[in-house]
Amino acid sequence: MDNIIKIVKISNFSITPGSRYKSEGNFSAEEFREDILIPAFNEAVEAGKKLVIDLDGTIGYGTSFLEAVFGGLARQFGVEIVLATLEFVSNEEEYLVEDIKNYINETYESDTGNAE
Amino acid sequence: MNLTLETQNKIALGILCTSFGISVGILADQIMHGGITYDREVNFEFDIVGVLTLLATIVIVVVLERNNSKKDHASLAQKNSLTKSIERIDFDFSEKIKDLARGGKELLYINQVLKRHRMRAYKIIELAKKHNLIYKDSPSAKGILERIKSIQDLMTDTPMDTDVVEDGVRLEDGKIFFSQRRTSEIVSEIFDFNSSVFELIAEVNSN
Repeated sequence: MDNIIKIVKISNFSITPGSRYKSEGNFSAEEFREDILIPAFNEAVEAGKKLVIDLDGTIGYGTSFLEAVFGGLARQFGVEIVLATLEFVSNEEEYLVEDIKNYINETYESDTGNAE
Repeated sequence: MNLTLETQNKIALGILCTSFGISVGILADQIMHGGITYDREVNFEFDIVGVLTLLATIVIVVVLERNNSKKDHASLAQKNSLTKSIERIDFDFSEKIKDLARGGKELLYINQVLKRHRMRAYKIIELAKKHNLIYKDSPSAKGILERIKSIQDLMTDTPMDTDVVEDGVRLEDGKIFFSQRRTSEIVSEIFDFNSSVFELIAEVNSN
């Protein structure tokens, strides 16, 4: 636990996460990434500690939400540091952790530098 | 005293081995002390040890047979139960996705439905692996989970560039709409999902 700076529980942001962009509606990936994730991520990187992301407690995630949050973070800061800093917890949907790691790793190949 | 089937089988086998040992011992004793002679006369003697050994053997065979039959019955019940669960998942998921593929449903509703079905399939497959009803690396189980994930991507991965009209999925006022091509892709994935389910049921019943 000493190596963990904070636990970010997505359901505290919203139990109904939406789509990619703020322009597409409430509780978007863009809103979560900018308002909650990036400040916590920067804090963790500066302290050299881990940031835990708790995925449980929502009604479900669309692919675009998770891709835009974590793939978007990797596009902005780099794959290695994102993978080294973030840890994921999902008791309800264990497979989400692998999904997210794939989104992060795929930014190597699919980074087009557009609207993100 | 409640003993497991395995323990009962072990005890029965132990008794069987002991009985066999006693019989061999008696035979050895006969050979060493009495020798084996051929006699034209047929004599009937009541051999208590031999009779008891025979009775013990019969009892042991009956116990083993009964226990194996119980095991087979339990295993068959597990397979039937699992098959029914998988068939139910197949039906519920396919029907729900066909309905969602018409478009016009809220993204949040689609997320909720997909979470429920993906979790359900994942948990039943994990349970089947735990009870050795399917292989740990079952290709059909993997196929089922991959098809659900693929359908989730086809339905909820909205375009990164919203200015480009993609021939895929479109989000409008919180509702999801699909192009005809995307709808066909979703339906095609449902057929692949159904095939994987069929293969998994065959695997369960062949093990």
